[in-house]
Amino acid sequence: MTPIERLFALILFLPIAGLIDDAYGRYSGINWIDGVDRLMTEPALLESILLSVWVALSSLLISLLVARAVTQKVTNTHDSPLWRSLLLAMPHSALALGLLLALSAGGVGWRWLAPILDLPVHAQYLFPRDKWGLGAILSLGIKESAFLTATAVIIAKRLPLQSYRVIAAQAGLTTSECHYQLIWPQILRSLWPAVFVVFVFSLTNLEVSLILGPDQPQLIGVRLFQLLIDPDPLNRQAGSIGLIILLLVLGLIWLVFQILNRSRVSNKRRCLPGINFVARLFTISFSGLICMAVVSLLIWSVTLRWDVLEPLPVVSVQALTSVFSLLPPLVTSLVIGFSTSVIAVFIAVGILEYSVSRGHNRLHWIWWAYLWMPALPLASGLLAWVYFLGGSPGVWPVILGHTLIALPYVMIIVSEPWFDRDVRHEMILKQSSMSVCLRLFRVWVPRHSRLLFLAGALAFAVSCALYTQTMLLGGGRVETLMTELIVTVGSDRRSSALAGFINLVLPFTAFTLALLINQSLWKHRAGMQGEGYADSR
Amino acid sequence: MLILDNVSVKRANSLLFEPISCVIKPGQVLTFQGESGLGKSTLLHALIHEEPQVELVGQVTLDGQCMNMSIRLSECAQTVFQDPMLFSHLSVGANIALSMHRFPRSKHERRVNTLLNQLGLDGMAGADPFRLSRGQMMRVAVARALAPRPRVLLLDEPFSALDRENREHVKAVLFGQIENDQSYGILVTHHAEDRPPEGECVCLMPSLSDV
Repeated sequence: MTPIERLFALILFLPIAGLIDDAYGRYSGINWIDGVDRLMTEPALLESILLSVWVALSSLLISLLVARAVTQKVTNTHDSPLWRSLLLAMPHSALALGLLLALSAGGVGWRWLAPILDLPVHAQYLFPRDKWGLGAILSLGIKESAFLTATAVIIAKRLPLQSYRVIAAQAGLTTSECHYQLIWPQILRSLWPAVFVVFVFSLTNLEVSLILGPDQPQLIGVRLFQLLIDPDPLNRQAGSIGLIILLLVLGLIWLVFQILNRSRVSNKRRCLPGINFVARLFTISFSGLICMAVVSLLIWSVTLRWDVLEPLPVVSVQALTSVFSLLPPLVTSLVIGFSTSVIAVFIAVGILEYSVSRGHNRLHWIWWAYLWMPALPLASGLLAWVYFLGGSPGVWPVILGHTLIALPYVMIIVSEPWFDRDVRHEMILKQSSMSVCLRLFRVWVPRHSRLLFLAGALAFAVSCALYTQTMLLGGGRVETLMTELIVTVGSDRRSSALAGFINLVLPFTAFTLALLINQSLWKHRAGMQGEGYADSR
Repeated sequence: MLILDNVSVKRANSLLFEPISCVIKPGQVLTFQGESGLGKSTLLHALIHEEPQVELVGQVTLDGQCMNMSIRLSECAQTVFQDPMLFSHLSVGANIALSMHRFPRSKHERRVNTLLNQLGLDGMAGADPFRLSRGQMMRVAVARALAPRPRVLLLDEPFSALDRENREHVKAVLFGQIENDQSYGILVTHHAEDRPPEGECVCLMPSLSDV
């Protein structure tokens, strides 16, 4: 671990220390046993926990299935990485809202499907009586499939895929058998940190379950969040204790993940019958649901009135007047997102170059640990430290919090190609007597510009999608499109749809701009086109 | 004089080849020959760059100054590798000028153009290196190594990508500059015809002893 990584390990530990302090009751003066008693008296707590585990495991399994199927397709064809980047950029909350507006009673999907299927339009099939958390599973499944696929594709590209295909063909295996028996098991071994990230996020997510439910009972993340923001110190203490218990349980699960990952060596590659068909079904359904969610957001953004029996809404430009009320949160989102992406990319480049100069060639696990940490304890612990350092909630603590969440994503994306440099290039630069700084800015940064632009866009997308950090570190006073979306989701369908649509468009725009700027910068360099820089090796 | 005294390379506590001792006079090129995998390229790399688990043993002295872990040949050497190793974001001229960082910028353009002219790449300073043929890319790599007029030129099979005509031409330019500048050259090759007409040739032998 380099000193910088030690510093970031400390930053990760500090929020936990703040949380322990809160749970112990040093400020409130309440005995921690009272806090535990309060937590235990929470109604339907066990049901909440079981439902959360069900949602987390289901969405994880579905995402893995889809990632497995899509990775096969992506590695067999030279597809454009743009659509994968766009799916990755889609904020969870905007997608969840789109699904809500499509699939709830009177939603776009039901209005169009009901006459065909001869079903009542206004009947509530999914929301809010979603006892099984199906909405959350769908939304999380779609988003996490994109994340797992993106990570799996990066891992797959490090494997000698062409050689495997030749070996498989000579052994009489089909392309599909080659993927499932030779390639996917190897991807899975390296994919487990991302799998754990998906599990933690699905188990503790707040934004998706606030929008899509279930609400009888709510998921554990929402329950703990409500306790943490309660004015009663006993409730806040109970929330902190709940989070610590959650962290301990996640730590135990992480150990089990590790053991399973190490022991998973088998010569038998069993494949459940029909699993490929199910995976394909999910992939096609998810594509349809994404389109439906985006269309729903767009339609509701411009809908002035929509009679429940009419197939089409009354669309008016007047409906767009609410866009003016969204201008201040839009500007705040842009400022926070842009600052986050610039700071995160600069810090990542500095850390990676320092690591290379110290002879490191792999990303330290501490960066994954940031993603394993649920957003709630990280944000509330950071807030405790903002107070401890004499600060107060506001825009800067929000930017700090967003940067801390976005930085690991940037590190994970950039690290592999950054470390994978040819030692002979290093020798050439060393012989040129250029300083480390000059080498960095004249050679390594331009050479990885596409990656850095994309990483910046990803950091921007992450910032656009953060709610918990914005709420807690902004003291509820920093209004972004994301907070507006959550605030208006239950009351004003048009405003929330518009906020969701703009929130969806912003990351898309960031990714498209990133790719276009990079392309125009290097339009005269053949070796800088395509997915990455070419090499003359 | 460039003196190699009992020089070998140690990896995982084993010597890759029997230690060698030789003296290279100014203007001369020393050629290393040997089987594949013996460590010829590793020796060149170890002379200029510290790599994990690779240790250069023995003594290297350049013009009376002893080289060690902190003062390696990288300060006064340039290398041509088997592959061009060009930087894709820089033009041909900028790739060549990269090695001339310690010289005033005003001298870059003239030197780059002279070298391109010598190597048959006239007027290509602004070209995209990745639109060149492999042979042309190799000549750009040679120009980059020659540009700062280094004291030592390390040549790791630099002619393998060139056709016969270009090979003779590039050899003439490379060995000509070494002779004119009274600098030193170390060439690693599999082919006897790559050797300069004068200069010593050392055949590396596999080491039989562990350290």
